Amino acid sequence: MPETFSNPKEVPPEARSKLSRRELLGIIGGLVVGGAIGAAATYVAAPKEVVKEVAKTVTVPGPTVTVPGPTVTVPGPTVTVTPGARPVPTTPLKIGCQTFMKGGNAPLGVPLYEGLVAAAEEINKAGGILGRKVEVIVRDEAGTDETVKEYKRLVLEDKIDLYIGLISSANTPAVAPHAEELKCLSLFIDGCTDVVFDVVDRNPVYVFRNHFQSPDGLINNFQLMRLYKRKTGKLPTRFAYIHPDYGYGRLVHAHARYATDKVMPENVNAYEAFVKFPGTTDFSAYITKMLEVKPDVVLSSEWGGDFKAFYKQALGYGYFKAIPVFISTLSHGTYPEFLETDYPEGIGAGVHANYWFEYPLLDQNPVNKYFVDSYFAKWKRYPNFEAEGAWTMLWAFKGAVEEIYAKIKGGWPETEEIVPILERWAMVCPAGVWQIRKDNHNGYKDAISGVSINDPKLGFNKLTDPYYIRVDKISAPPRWQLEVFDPKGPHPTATADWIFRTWKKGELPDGVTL
Amino acid sequence: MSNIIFLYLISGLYYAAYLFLVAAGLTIIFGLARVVNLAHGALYAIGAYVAAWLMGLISKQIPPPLWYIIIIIAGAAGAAFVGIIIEPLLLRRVYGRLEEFQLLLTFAILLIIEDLELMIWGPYPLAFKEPYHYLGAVSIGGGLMYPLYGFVVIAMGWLIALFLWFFMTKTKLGIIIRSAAANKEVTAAIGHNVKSIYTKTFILGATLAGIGGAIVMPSATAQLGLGIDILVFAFAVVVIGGLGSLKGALVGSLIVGMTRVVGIAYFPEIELALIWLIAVIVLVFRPLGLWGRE
Amino acid sequence: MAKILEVKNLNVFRGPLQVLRDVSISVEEGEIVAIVGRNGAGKTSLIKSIMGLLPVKSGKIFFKGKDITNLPTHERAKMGIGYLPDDMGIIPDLTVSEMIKTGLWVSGISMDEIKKRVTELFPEIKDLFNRRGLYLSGGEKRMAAISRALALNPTFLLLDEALEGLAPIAVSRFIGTMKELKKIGLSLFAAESNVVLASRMADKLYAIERGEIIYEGDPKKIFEHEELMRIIRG
Repeated sequence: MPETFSNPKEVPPEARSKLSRRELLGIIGGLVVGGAIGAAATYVAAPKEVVKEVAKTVTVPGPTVTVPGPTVTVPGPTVTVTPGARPVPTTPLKIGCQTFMKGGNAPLGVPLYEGLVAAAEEINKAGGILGRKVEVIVRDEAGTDETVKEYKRLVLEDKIDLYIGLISSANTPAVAPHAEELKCLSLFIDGCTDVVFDVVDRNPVYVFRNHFQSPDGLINNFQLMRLYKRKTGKLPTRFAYIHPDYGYGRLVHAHARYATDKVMPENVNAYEAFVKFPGTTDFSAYITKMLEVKPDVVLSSEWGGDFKAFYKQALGYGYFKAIPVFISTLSHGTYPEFLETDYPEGIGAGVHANYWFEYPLLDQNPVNKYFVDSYFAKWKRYPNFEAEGAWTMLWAFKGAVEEIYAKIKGGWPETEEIVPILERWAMVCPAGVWQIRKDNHNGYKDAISGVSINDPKLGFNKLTDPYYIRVDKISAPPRWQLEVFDPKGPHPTATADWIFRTWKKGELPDGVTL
Repeated sequence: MSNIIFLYLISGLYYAAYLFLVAAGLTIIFGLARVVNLAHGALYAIGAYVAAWLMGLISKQIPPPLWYIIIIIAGAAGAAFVGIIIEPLLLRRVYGRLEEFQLLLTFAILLIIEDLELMIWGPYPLAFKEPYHYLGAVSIGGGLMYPLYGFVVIAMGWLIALFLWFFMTKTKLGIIIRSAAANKEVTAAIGHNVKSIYTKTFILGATLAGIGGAIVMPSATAQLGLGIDILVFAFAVVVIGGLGSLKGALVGSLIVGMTRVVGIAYFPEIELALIWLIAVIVLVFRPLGLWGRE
Repeated sequence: MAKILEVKNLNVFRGPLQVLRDVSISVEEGEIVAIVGRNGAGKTSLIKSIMGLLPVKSGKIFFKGKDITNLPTHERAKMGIGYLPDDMGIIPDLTVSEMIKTGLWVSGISMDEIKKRVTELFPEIKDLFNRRGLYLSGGEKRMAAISRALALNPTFLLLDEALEGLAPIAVSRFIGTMKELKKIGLSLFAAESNVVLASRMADKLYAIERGEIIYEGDPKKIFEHEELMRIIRG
């Protein structure tokens, strides 16, 4: 198969940016009629050379499907299974899911499960995947050892057909090698550390992931500069950091420091702290220290209950008035209702994994509107990025299975046949255009950050004034992690390595404007 | 600069205040029953949850000054209620048993209570903000502010320390608890029901932890895992101050509170290590802690 | 005279080890009864069983005619049994008057009353009321412990090795104290490893060896049994 996206210019975001709104709507309409979100969306995402290749897939034969989206029942061609060779099993497709169902990480973990269940129910209502119903077995994600043990149990004892899950960046690098060894198709949702495919599983086969970490650390770093410049007319010089003390916080910090040291070599790192997470209830000493060192901007990646404690206390200290620009990469990444209306307005609003449920605009992306509405109807609240990721992943899997099914002319495909389809998968998902890259199996979508605002109608604090950076402008180009980056070298990730080697001192990187 | 020093000082006192409430309960229970009660952290968490839950229900219906009383009563009552159940039912069985056994059982209780919290209050953090914002903040110069609620927590810590001193030295039950802590056979042999003293003491300790959990809630969130996190620091306190000593718990809390502030401000990478370093230094010179006794 | 204490066929175990075998003893009202035996013979176990500090496997304990075998320790104390453990059970943290108070709160008698009673027995105790247990000497500890036991207003006292470790002159004094207590109406049951001292204080003497009573009778006559004396003295 030809290398689908051999250079970053061909990644879908550019494609999207060149599509007019009308075209986009047309395509999404086509997607609905086409019967399978995944297959049709592939067309949207890859309008260049790819078009020829994926054009075939638009004519996927599929079962009669009730398509998610504006409820339209579209009769599709009836499936004709060639008897003999490998019939589609009549047993349900078992999906093993691991996520945090309790504890400090539950605000992310539970929505993942809910997003997956939402997709599963919709797919079942529409007749399943090639007629197979899907069922979800959920297990608690926990510490690394228990998570790996539970993963193996799911594969070996429960004999799952597909694995979707994981939140923690501690767990994905640990599970990935087992997934490859057990040859179980494992679609990670979060656990977004770049390390998984840059260092641990450099030539992935069975492991895919919805998104990765470096772009959202980096966009929020630029958002800091942008908001400071907007406020004062000049660039910030004094930076301070407060991060949760685990892989995610450490890596957000690393990427931000690489970028800042390149873009403004004269910057001052006034204070950095890594706070026990989750479970820190008292931030007063950290707040005091930051008030003492008077930074221009503060970058944080605190989230969840700890972040709520932090901002409540910070309000009491007048912190948000004293610190010109503050942003947390994940402040708005927890489930949307999480930040109450006491959250200060006009400060940076980071969303992890580049999804906030109101963007892309609901009236312009019917997939997002459909997803948000149906999720809300089912769970009585708005989806976060984990819910979106899990939902998207299962639909992508369905699309991939149906596509290869058409090629092999009947029968349930082998995992090894599904993998190449997923490796060049792209679709319009609720978060917009999303594409999996073959070289590292990560999903790519444009980075978004915003500004906080209280919405009295919704009753919580939300993101507005979106600021986008194309994902390929703030992440390493394809194959960088294999051909340039040395995992034993001084830089933690391919993106950090790429920043270090290619960004020019004192200049913003190509494609980034403040 | 002096306003920054003031903020550091008050941050240390604030942390010490609620840490003391947890460590005091831990140390009182250990002093009497000789049980290192890992479930103590869960009682703190229960206080936090009950306060947050109740405030979520009724904060809009009751006038603001009552909030502060409600929080304390809710936290105390919630933890005391759990204490009344787990002491006679579970904890009583480990008195006098091997330490491994005690740690195992009390840790099991901690996990059970966490699961109950999950069942009752769900996986998401619980929070309320009104009592914290209502009091507002005081300007301390240089454009800096300090939230007045912090003083409420500090004052509560000292008030309860004072109450405990009075209770232990001046009241009948306090003196009997001290007698039973030193020698339960003799205390029983002069006519005191030691079992009921254990239960009462356990409830007292639980109540303190519950109040500790409740009074930090206006500025924090109740989430699962709360109980284990506070234990780490509470143990540092009792190791430094001496297990079984209230004075030790008070001084230990101040040492840990202040060390944490200095650590965060100047050695943020090793803040926890710094606290344990002090604990180790204390143990080298006083193996039982500053006021610990055999 | 009525029996204030009667122990019938008592069998007591500490773990797998049987420490009392079919032990039967009795104490008459107004009597001092002593039990002698080597270390580990079962004296302390017997005293603790009577106080309810050791579980009884079989047998019965009667106090003032009532079966107290299954009564918890504090209920026995309320019935009037006082107890002095071998280490006197002094609370290092409490002052002497606080220790006395812990007894008074149960019996309900007044502090003045008890102070009067104990200063009659030990005139020097009036300087000790505000001293902490930690700072008491051996003799002072005994005074404090006896005072606390008396605060309970008991009719019967259990003493476990009350004379051990005392200087000869203090020993004589405490034997005098016991006789004083007997005079004001108390009955005493004392465990003692020194048979000479035991016979000096007691009206009736028991000897115990490996959990079995091997002598009961006149304290003076025990010396006539050479075999017995060899066993008791080890």
